[in-house]
Amino acid sequence: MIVPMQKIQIISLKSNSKDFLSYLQKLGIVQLEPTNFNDESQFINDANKKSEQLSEKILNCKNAINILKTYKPKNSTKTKETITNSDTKTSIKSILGDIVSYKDDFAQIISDNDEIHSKTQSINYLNASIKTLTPYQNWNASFNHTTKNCKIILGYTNNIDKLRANIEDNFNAYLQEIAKVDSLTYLAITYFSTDSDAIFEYLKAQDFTTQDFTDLQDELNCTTPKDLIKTAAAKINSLNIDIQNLRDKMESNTNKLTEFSKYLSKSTNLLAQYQTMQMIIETESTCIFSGWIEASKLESLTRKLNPIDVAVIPIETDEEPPVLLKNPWIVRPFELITELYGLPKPKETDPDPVLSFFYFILFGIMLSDVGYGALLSIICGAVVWAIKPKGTMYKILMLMVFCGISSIFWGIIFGSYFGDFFTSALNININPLWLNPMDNPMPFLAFAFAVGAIHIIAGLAIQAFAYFKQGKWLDAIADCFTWIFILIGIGVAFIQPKIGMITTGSAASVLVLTQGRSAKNWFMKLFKGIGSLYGIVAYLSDILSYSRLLALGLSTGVIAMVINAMGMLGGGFTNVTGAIILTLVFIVGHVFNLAISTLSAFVHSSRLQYVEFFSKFYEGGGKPFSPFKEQHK
Amino acid sequence: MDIFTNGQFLAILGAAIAVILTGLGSARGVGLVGEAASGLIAEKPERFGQALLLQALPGTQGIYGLLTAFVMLNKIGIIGGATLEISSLTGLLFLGACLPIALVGYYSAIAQARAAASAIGIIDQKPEEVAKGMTFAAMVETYAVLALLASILIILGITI
Repeated sequence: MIVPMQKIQIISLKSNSKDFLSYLQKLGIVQLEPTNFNDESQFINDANKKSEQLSEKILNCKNAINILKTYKPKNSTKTKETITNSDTKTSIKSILGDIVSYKDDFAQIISDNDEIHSKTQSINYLNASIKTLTPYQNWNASFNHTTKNCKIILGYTNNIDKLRANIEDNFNAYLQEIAKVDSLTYLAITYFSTDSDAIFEYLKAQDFTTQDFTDLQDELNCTTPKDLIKTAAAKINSLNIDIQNLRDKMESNTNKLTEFSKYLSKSTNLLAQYQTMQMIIETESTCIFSGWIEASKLESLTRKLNPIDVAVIPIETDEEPPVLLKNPWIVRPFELITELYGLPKPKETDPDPVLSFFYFILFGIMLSDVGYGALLSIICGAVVWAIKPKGTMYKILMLMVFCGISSIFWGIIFGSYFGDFFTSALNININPLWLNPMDNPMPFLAFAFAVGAIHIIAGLAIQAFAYFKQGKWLDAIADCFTWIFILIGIGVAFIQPKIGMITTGSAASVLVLTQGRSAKNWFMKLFKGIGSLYGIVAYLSDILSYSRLLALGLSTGVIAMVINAMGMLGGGFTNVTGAIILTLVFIVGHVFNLAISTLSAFVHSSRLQYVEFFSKFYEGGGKPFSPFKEQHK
Repeated sequence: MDIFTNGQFLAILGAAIAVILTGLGSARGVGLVGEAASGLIAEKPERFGQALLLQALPGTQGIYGLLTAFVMLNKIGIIGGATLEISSLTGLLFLGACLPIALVGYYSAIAQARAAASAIGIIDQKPEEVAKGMTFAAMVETYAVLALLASILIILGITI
């Protein structure tokens, strides 16, 4: 049901308005909203600017915390401190003080982290260079050594004999082996500088890879391979020391983590206050807060705020209170379906109690498998138990737990246990409680239509109830009960043709007589009345839409059969290979089918609620109630 | 040319057409939504789960095609059990029974994919409203479901 809301206005002294605001935030039961005044009071607060600045700092703080977390020593005991209320009670001044003192810390941590990264990269680069240099370490001259007429080029090849034979035939060059590592021979080739271009071209064609270390030489300021390696190693050492120092610093900083997280939590709440302050009217010496509160909590608020006065403001007719749904635990998960469509308007009926019942049934018929239902319930139930989620996540998981139970029920009715697994793999026949939809689709189809008709009648009944509540009994009879009886009559006609026809006929005549009641002249009254009979097409198509219950129920079962048939290709449990194949196919296949069939069942049950059921009575479009409260991260 | 009047051949041709056309449609559809989703994921990778749900929607037609083929192959004994002799006429009936899901499945997969691809925009702007986008796509799927139902009811109704 929809919780009744009360509109309130609170006036506090400006001097303690901030403390007052944090107290309200701690209570977390009031939704603040912009106060409307006819006279343009000066809107003197800079909350907008402040909140922008603060959110930037919060971002830095988050980054610093994430960085520090990676440096936390692994063996340290987990000090996951929960933030208690006393921690957050600190005044705004002390938080702002923290910001000043922490600001440099955050910047330092972020820049240190960058430095560690860039130094690690340099080390990697140097290490790689040393590795390529190692084969040349016995070469005592510098690379690219040049005399007046000669040049030296270094590199390696995997076919030294061919290269040696060819190069000494074609050029006036001297080839000197430096080292042999595996199949590669590292060499230095000395040649006349006049041959330079030709020899480059030639070497390229001969699988010779030249190596050039000029960058490294410039960087390390030495020339011979030996020196290069030595200097690089020394540099790596010093870099390592630097990194270790930075890491030590980081690790010592990790003990600030709790402080930082506390600060983050506090400043996030402060940000919410700043954002709220933009809605407050300030006069020279007072602040005016307006907002909404659950009517049942008004008294306790008044008591807590004493001596500050809480004024109850009458709700104007064009004003819409925010909407909060409150249902028993068994209905609560199904609120999700309504929330996804749009919350009810404050004056509408909450559809959830009725919706939950039908959603439970429709989902179960679509999935209709004992195995899948049990898996779904157990998995989602285990997740709820393990991580205790809140809000939407909790609702989704609990919804699936309930829907799984429904699937188990319908699975027993239709005799589906992981499809026909027990029949095909174990030769155990489990008879369905009612019928097997594959053998007997027509009764199932009729059943689906009956469920649909009942669902639609329930929708009409909710509308009728709403009309009664508003005193519009004529509308209730003419717009809702006529259709209810037409639908019932059609159903009864299959069993008792006469009674059914009479019911439908008389309801239809009421329809003809009443549907023109808004028209002015008698001709239009008659025309509209008869025209309304055309609505039967819409109702029939609504009901036919429930044939998807059969289609999706069949589809789950048949895909499961396909999987079982595939699993049995190896012979099943009669031999080892067959058993392994069956187990693998069983796990992968049924998990896939569970996922795809659950998605289908979810989407199509929702659709039946939204299109077929809601269209009979529901409008939606209420604004959710979101009280101003603390958020602990 | 006897083959074209062979009942077995005609029935299997129907099953093949059902799988091929719905498979083609779903492949195109899932691909289409995937393309639209990749653009979103480049900027908001945390919305992957929702985008994947939308991408899965036009995939069901392919499954419906396979399902129809399976029900039929099961009925004529190609899967599990002895293969039954079927007359040319019965074969043609089976072929005809496959057409609803084959054709409607092909077309609806693509139409549904368009609706789902547009709904990727909803995830971008208002991720909490993704269920509405899914409902728009599910509206299209209704017709694939109806066609599947027709095909299966016909197949189950044919007596050999």
